[in-house]
Order: sequence, then structure tokens, then C-alpha cells
Amino acid sequence: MFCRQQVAGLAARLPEIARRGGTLVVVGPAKPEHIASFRQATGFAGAVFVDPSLRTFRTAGLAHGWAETFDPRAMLKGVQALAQGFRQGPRQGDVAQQGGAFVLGPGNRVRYEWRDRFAGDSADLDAAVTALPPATSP
Amino acid sequence: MSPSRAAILVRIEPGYNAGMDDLLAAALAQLTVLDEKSQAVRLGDFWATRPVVLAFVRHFG
Repeated sequence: MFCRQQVAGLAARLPEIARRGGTLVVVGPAKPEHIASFRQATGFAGAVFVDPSLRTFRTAGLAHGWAETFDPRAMLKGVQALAQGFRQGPRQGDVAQQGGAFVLGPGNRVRYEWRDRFAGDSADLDAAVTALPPATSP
Repeated sequence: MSPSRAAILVRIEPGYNAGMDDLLAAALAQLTVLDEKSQAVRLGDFWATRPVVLAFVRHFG
């Protein structure tokens, strides 16, 4: 549910990301066979990859644990997401793994970093997009 | 106020953490993720020449 909400927010910003010369890459803590059903559920056509080893999540310093998943703030966010029409589908992957968002490059440069503190917590996607280089002339 | 209870003020300038950030990007760049066909793709290739929004989502569901 939160995942679908986050992907919808990212997909809506794809044109602006492209205008600024950037790309969008989504990584999930699931298995390769889960990607097709994820695309079907979200309608997301962008770049989607998985990391069942969670190595990238750990290296990025992202939280992992049940306390974060069942944080009271996660419950409130869940109610809000339901009200916006997002539904929880069958969960695939590590449900205790929290997410995050980074704007990187060109080269090994970090322009923006965000680590979710609990389930349903989310990066300020407008701030993330603004961290990309300004759009070049049309 | 005793020295042990004195407040410690640290002023953090923008870019203060830039060196550590670059290390983070370099560490992530070495790692691989898998595509739908279980092919390994090096993460760093995505931001070698252009910027990327890299979103780590919670479980697929």
C-alpha cells in the first residue's frame, strides 16, 4: 500500500525528472519473479530492480525492523493512504525493510538523501526532484 | 554552569558531510541489483554520467 503510494508519487514526477536530465530507478527488497506482478499492480513502466540480499539497503543505511513497521505513525499513515484509494496487495519481499530515496550523480555525488523512519514515512519527492540539476533549455 | 554541563554547539555548514556522502555513493556504485531475468546490473552505471533518483521501496505489495 505504502509502496504503491510511493511509486505513484514517483511516476507522477517522471516527466520533471527527465526534463532535468535524470533517470528514475526503483529497487525493492524482493525477488526477480516479483517484478512483473509489481508492474501489473502499480502500472509503473520505469526501471525496477530487486535486491533479495538487502545489501544495497544496508549500505544505504536504511532501517530494518518490526518496530519501524508497526510504529504508531505507520498506522496513521495507513489510514491516510487508504483514504486516498491505495490498497494493500499481497506482500512480496522483506516486510520489515524500510525504504528511502537518494539523488545521486553524475559521478559519486549525493544531491539528496532520505531514509524512511517507519512504514509509510516518505521522502519529500518535490525536494528530491529539485535536487536534480536545473532543466536545460527546452 | 560546570564545564561538564555546558552545551556543545556545533555549527554544520552546507556540504559539511560531502566527503562521507561521496563515500556512500561510491559504496553503492559497487553493488549490483537484479532485473526481471535475474541478470545482475551494477548500480553505479546509473549515475556515472547523469543524475538518478534512486528509490528504495519497501516490499512489493
